[in-house]
Order: sequence, then structure tokens, then C-alpha cells
Amino acid sequence: MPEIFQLDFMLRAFAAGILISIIVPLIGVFLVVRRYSLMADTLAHVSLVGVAIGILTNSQPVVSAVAASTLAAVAIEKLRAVKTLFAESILAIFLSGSLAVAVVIMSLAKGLNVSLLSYLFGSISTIGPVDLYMLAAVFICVLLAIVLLYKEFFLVSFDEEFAEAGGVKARSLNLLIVVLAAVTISLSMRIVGILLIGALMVMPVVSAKQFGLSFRNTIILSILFSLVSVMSGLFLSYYLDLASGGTIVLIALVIFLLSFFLNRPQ
Amino acid sequence: MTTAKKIAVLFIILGVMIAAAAYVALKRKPETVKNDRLAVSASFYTIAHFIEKTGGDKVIVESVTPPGVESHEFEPTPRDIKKASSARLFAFMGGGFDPWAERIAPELQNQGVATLELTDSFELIEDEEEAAHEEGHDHGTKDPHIWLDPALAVRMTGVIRDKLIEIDPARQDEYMENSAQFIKDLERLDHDYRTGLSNCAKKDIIVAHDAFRYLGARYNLNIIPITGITSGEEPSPRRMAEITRLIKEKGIQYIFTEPLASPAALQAVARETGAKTLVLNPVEGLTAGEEKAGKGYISIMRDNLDNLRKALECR
Ligand SMILES: [Zn+2]
Repeated sequence: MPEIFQLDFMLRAFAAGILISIIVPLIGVFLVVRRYSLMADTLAHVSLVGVAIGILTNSQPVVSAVAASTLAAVAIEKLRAVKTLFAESILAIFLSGSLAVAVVIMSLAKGLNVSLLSYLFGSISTIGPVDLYMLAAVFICVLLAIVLLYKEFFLVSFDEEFAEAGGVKARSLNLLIVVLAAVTISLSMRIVGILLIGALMVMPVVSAKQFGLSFRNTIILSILFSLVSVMSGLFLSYYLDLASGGTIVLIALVIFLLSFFLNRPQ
Repeated sequence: MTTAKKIAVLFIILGVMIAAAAYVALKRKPETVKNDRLAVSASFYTIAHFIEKTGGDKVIVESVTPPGVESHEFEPTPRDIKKASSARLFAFMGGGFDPWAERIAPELQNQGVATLELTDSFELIEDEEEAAHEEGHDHGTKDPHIWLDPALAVRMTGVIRDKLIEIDPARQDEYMENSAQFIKDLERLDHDYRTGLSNCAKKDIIVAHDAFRYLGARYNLNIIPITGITSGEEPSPRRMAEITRLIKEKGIQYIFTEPLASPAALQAVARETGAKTLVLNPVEGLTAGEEKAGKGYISIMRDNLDNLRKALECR
């Protein structure tokens, strides 16, 4: 067996990597087509508040991160219904506001530099069995939701008014997507890091979209892209001793550049 | 080009790039040297140094925290952990000093590596202040800096010696002999601290992070730290104002910085009060320069003693 698979935490990292690289673009595709890419980054920054609270109270930072980002997701969706606010401004307010809250909480808790860095940029050796169980549960939820509600999601993503008129409960579907995004992002930060998870949610999808395939095939291709990015990123980061999150996103970036230039109009 | 072709081209280009990177990685891989020395891995410099002194040329020891890095703030890469897992023994401080080591220790045990948590064998000083506002758990409320008291360093050497003998009983005689020699050096260091600090005009010292409680308790010094037990924190403006007032009140002439931490806060206090700075090294790691100059635990502790004597106006 190659040495990379002899360590329990590397096995956990790969298992978590496979789960993440399937559900992250699956959620991402619905955010991207609705021009809601900033949502991923915003929810990641809100997760940071949860992490800070978790470290301050010495409880599980991942659990409080999930809680914080889910609450924020619900709040953002409620605010979007207020027509005097632009969706973009709401996201910007949540992004920088949560960063401010997180920084203040962190200055209350002393000596969390190290653990904080591992959340900002990802640290695969810190993935515990509990992280993996939670990720598996979310994986099943996301997959079930997408498979069962595929048609509704498709409609609501491309035309909200049409979806509303067609009798689909657009608002609750929106909410569901955003909450799933929140949970997925909070659980993925161990591998990719808070500052980079947004990239993994958006880049494979944008790359896949360059090929002008059907919606379904775009989803499949983006999952393929993200699987390749995460798996080869984990391998290379291990053997070249590089930061895992950065390596993964760099590969996703290379895939995007190749997709873009291969599909440039002649 | 059809879409399928484009996707194929993409994966081929990507595959070539990844293969090239993988080739570089595998070529770089060092070959493992086979010999009969006992391979030991230590979480940071001081433990590695003590093991080296006890094991002599019968052990080959490596510090997971590299030179120039503060162990409190270190996070190992998967490769570091892999390297540690090929040793027979992994020794670390525990007690909140190297949390990453406490985390990977069970993992290493599963790989058949023996582990030694040094603070297990010691009665640690409790940090009342932090214990008070973080009740209900004891993480990060104990002071792990035992090696800064030479008398406790003697006991640490004994614990390391016993562990080496337990793992490698065939070389008991060598381990006994080496450790006895090192303990003699440590006892001389303790003696020199005792006499060197016995007749001083002052007893208050300002230090960067709270690493010197055991040293202070042993030689009757009053340690005033700017930040907490973990280094790398920035002190609050209020704390800095407090320290500045204290320096003026007590007429303190020198404040102590650390080689591996940013001296910015202490320099600001020094500018404010007109005090000068001296180095008091908590020996939590060597800088690359110290390593080159052949510095070790004992010589650094002697430099510390010289600086303490200067600051405290000892005769
Ligand atoms: Zn320290």
C-alpha cells in the first residue's frame, strides 16, 4: 500500500474529499446560474463566526459553524424578500459584518492563532471521525434533496417568477438550497479552508459551463472537475508538502483556464 | 473541435501537468537510511536535545518543529506526521504546549509508535486567571514550561532515560551513563543560577509570554509577563499601559524579548519608558542562526543567566 494510505487521517481526508467534491459543485451550480456566487463566500465568512465561538467556548467549532451559517442563510433569504435591499448588498453586509464579529470574538479568546489558521486555510490532518460522520450525513441529505427535487430546483433556478406562477414554492426551495449550501460550506472548511471554499463551489461549475452542455451534463462535468481537483490536490499537497486547500483551488483554477481557452470563439 | 474532444484535451493537459508535479515529488523523496540506531521523534527542539544527550550516538532524533518556528504556533503537515510515524518513539510536552502533538499521538500509537507525554510526570502550575474565566475544563490553563527550571530539567532527563531504557533495554548502560553526564551539567547550571541570582538588587522581570513561572518559582524572581502562556498573542493596549506604569513605578531598567516572537509590543513599551531590551530565551526552538552557531539548551540558559544578572543588578 502506498505510504499516503497508511495514515488514518489521510484516509479520512480522501473520504471527506470525495464527499465534498460531489456535493460542493452540486450546490454550486444552483448558486452560479442564479448569479449568486458571492453567497458561497459570504456563508464561509459567517462560518468563521461559528468557529470563533466554538474556540472561545471550547466546544466543537464545526458544530457552531454549521449553526451560524445556517442561521445567516435563513436571515439572508428573509432579507432578500424585502424589495428595498439588493441581494448583492445584503451579501456584502453579511460578509464583512460577520468578519467583524468574528475578529471581535477572537480578541476575547486568547491564543487561538494556530487553530484559527487551520480553519482559514484548511488543515487535513485535523479531520476527525466526527467531521467525517457529519459530512456523510450532509452528503446523503444533499443528494436526496437534489434527486427528489431536481425538476423544482431546475425551474426555480432559471426563472423565479415562472417557478412561482407554476405553483412551485419558490421561496422554500431557495431556502433549502441556501441552507444546504451553508451546511456544506461549514463542513468543507477543514479541507479547503474558509477563505478558499467559495472558489471550490464556483470554479468547477463555471469551468463546466464553458462547454455549453445541457444543464444535467454541466452538473456531471463540474462534479468530475471538482473530484479531479480535490483528489489530485490532496495527492500533490501530500507529496510536495504544500497546503492542501491552496493546491486544490490552484488545480481548479488551471481547469478553469483550460476550459476557457479551449472554448474561446475562433 | 467537438465538446467531447475539448474535454479530452483538457484532461490530457491536466494529466501531464499533474504527472510532472508527481515526478518532481517522487524524485525528491529521500531514501531511508537503514541502521541500528533507535529512531526517535520529538515535538520540539528542547525535547529532541535532551533525548540526544541521553541517547548519545545510539539514537537518531529529529524535531518535528523545524528551526526558527515556535512550537506553540506550529501545525505539522501530513508529511511531518508520516515521518514521525516511522520512529520508534514520539516524545512531546503535552499540557497544552504542543496541542498538535496531543492530537496526533493516538494516531501514532495506532501505527505502533511508543509515545511519551513529558508533562504527565510533573505536577504543573495552574493558571488561576485563565482557569477562573474558562471554568469547566482544564485545557490551556496549566503551565507546561517545565524545562526552564534546571532542577526540573534534571527530572525530565530521568523520565526520558527511563523511557529509552523501556523501549531499548539492550542499551541500558549507555543510556544510564549518558544521562548521568547530562544531569551533572544540568546540576552545575542549577548551582550557577542559585549562586548567580542570590545577591541581586532587584527581583522583578518583564517578559514577553508567560513561560518563566517555574524559573521564577525556583530562584525567587517576580515574573511579569506581557501576554499569556501561549506565545504569539498581541497584548491589548490596556495591558501595555499597565506594564508601562509598572516599569516606571518599580524603576525597571530592562525588559526581556524572545528570539522567536515579534518584539514589536515590547519595543513599544521600551520606547515609552526608556527601558532597554535584553533577550530571555524560553528555549522553545532554535533559530537557524543559533543552530549554526552550535548553541544548545545549556549555553542558551547561561546566556539567559548573564542577562538576568545584568537586569537584576546582581553581584
Ligand atoms: Zn511558551
